[in-house]
Amino acid sequence: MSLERYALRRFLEMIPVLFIVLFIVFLMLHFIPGDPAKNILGIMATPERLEQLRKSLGLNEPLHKQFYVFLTQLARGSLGTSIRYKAPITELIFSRLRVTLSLVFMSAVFCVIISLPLSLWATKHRGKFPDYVARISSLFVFSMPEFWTGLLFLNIFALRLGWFPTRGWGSGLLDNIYHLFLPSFILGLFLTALVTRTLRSDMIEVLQKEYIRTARTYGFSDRTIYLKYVLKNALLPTITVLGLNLGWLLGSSVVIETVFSLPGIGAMLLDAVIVRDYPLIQGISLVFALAIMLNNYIVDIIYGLIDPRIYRS
Amino acid sequence: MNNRNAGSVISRSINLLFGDENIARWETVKKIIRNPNSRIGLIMIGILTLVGIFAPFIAPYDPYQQVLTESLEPPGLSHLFGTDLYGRDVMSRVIHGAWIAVKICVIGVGIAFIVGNLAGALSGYYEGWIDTIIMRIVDSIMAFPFLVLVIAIMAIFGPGLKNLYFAIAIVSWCQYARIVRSRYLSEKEEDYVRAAEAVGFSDKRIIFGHLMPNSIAPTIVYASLDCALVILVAASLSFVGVGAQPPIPEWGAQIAEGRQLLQVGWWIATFPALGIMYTVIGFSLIGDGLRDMLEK
Amino acid sequence: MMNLLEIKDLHTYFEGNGAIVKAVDGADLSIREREVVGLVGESGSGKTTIANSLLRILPETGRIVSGGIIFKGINIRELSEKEMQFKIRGNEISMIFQDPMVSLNPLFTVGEQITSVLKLHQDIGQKEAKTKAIDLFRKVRISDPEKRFDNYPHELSGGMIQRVTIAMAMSCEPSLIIADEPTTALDVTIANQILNEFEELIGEIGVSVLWITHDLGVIKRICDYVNVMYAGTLMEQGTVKTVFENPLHSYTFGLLRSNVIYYEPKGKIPTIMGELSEIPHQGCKFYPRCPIGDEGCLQESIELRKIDENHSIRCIKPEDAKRLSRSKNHGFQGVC
Repeated sequence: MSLERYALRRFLEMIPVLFIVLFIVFLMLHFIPGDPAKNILGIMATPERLEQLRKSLGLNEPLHKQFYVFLTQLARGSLGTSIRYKAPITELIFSRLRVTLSLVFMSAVFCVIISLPLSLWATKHRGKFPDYVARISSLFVFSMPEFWTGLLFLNIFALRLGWFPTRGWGSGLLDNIYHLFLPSFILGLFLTALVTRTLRSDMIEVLQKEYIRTARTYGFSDRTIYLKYVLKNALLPTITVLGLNLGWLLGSSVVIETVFSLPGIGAMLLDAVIVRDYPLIQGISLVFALAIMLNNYIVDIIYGLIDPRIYRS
Repeated sequence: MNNRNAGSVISRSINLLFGDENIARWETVKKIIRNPNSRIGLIMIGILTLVGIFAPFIAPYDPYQQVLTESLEPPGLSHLFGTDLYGRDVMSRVIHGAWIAVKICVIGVGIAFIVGNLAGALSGYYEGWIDTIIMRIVDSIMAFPFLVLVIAIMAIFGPGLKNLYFAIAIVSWCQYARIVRSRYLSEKEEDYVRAAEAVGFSDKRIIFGHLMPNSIAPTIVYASLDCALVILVAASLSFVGVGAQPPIPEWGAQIAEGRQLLQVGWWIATFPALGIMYTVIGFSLIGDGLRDMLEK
Repeated sequence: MMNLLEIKDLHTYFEGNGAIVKAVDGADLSIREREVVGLVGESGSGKTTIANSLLRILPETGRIVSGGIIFKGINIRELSEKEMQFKIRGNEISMIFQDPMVSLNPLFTVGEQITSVLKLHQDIGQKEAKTKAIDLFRKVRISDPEKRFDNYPHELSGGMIQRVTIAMAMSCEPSLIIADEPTTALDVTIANQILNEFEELIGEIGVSVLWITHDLGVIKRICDYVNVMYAGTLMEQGTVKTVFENPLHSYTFGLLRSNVIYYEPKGKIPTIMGELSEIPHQGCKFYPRCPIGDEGCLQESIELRKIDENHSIRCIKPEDAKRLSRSKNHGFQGVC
């Protein structure tokens, strides 16, 4: 099979999942106990306003018709109107998506920058002091709730020392990076702990492989072996861990954006939850799910590029 | 019949997890204890559970009692962990938080464990359309970020601890189902299962008596790591205000209460955070230890 | 003629968990130019450790304790790590491995792997290396070498990959190739085919070979000399003809007897009793399993001694062994 056909097949496999994801998002509104309209507007709402909201949400139609309307709307690129902001949800999300994506991207970069050298170092000195330092510190980092670490860093580095801004995301690329530095570092830490652990054990496994012995008997230096062979062979599991945990990163962005008052879609999701803006909750959940599906798809393709065994056999 | 099955599932799975079926049970326990990771982890979680169960007797004060004259006292002899803005004893609140943590693990992870094992069993044993439906649902649920879906569910059903257990279970059973299914697919080809089928045992008997004991081990390992994750998720939700509601002494909710007071009363948020770290480290150590044993 | 390689009384030990494992405990071996020398022994007898000591690629827990490894007049133990990498490994001495399927990196094409060796040891560019690699592939009879160049190891059969590793071993025109049981993992017909081709090739390019195996048939077929190892110690050495026709060590004799090619079994195949693990601290290591040994064998350490020009053994009772080989009741019990 060629890479193109593999890519196409993986794409087709995604379609049923996409359909169920859409259905889950659609059903969110209908799982609300009691009358959704009453739930949204509160008990003080007048019957006229309730009826008006029911109509605009399409709640009076039969379920299958509602789902059909939901899908056709979506096909036209519309996710409905936010109750709170009184604006089209797609516009609201797009205006803030950039913040969340930059945050996640920067934390992934932090994660790679820290975990790659750290795990190489731990592997090289396995069973010795550096290895224990790496292992114990990753266990501690793993156990720290991100919002707590975030609060701590915010108080020390932003409030006390004044090195970083305390809120918002600034304007202009450099300013954005400066504002995102602390939050993305915190967000990346958890993943760094996971990736370092996985990479370390995978690298040790690779080092025991017969082909490493081959490389050694042919006179390749330790440096070449580590940087060319061990790294490439351990790359796949790293991408797996990164890819699988992008969901965790995106989810945690909700918390981190709240702590650092960043105008991303995670913080917007929480606002929506508090004011019971269900259409907005639906829209944001869907965007998160789509991001993860796209990510999984890209990860699969990168897999194929690194290890042709995945699609060639 | 069902009781006997359940009993044999548990004892046989323990045997399988930790070695040969002939090894006596104390031998199994010894093996777990001999592994330094799982030994420390078990001691830590054991202490947590005891503290949680006996919280009303251990805690020096009522966790809800407000003594406004003793507001924001730093850690000292009368209040080891200090007091919060309303003069409540932080130590008592952290101790009562342990019970909530235990409940989150037992109920949230417990439901997910059972549902996931059953769904994975159906999927892996029967394959065909049942498998397709279950696995597509699993894929779809796992397409959402864990935290986001839990937040959405909490938004639908409203905040509170009971809904939190439920929301966590709805999302986290999927991973168990995946693990069990893949085990079944490979285990089904083994001779002992074919023999059981050839003898004409019922599906129920093959699943509960033969397959489940042999595939439950990896899910037990995952469950201990899942407990660690779920504790973090629950705390995050309570922190952002959609989980446990004040004045309930859930750790994440306590950190949220101490959030604005970090400059004047660092102890209010710090001690609950240490509680979370303690619990997460304990469960990860158990998980690491069990995984080491399983891989050997 | 000067010896290409001379190993004198080599001792390589492994340390772990406070215990010392004497993997190689007294090995002597010499190889002359253009000679094919066999090294035979049970699994765990330290054959591979000798090869690893020779290239100094022992695992971290292992180290050469004493003995000399003289290659072309240079003591390999005195070379720096850099010199080992650039002068010896892959360049002067190269290696072919037991399991071809796992000895090549699955994430690089076979072409990439052979050209990286060529570029490491010779001052040539990618284009030249590729031409050379394809020539080598043709030489080891890989069909359609240009196409194979871009294949990944998993896309080739076991025999084909073993041909690639042979090509790689010969790529830098080494003086010595160590073949570490290269045919064991292959099925018999392919193994035979590769053995034939390999025999032809070494005659053609005039390289010395150290052939490590537990298969006496292969030794008889392609080797000039044979060395018999037991529990890390060299027991008997000599030309294939003398050792096979006139074994003087009871272990060699037992090894030959338990091999169906040299012994017509009547119902039961005789085997050497016991296991490799029971080893006395002093004296002859084979004593617990030897049918002719007595207390004298445990008294002192036994030296390797020359019987004649081309034959040495490490045994104090060669006369008894000779008698044993003639007698009908050979002392090795039959176990089927």
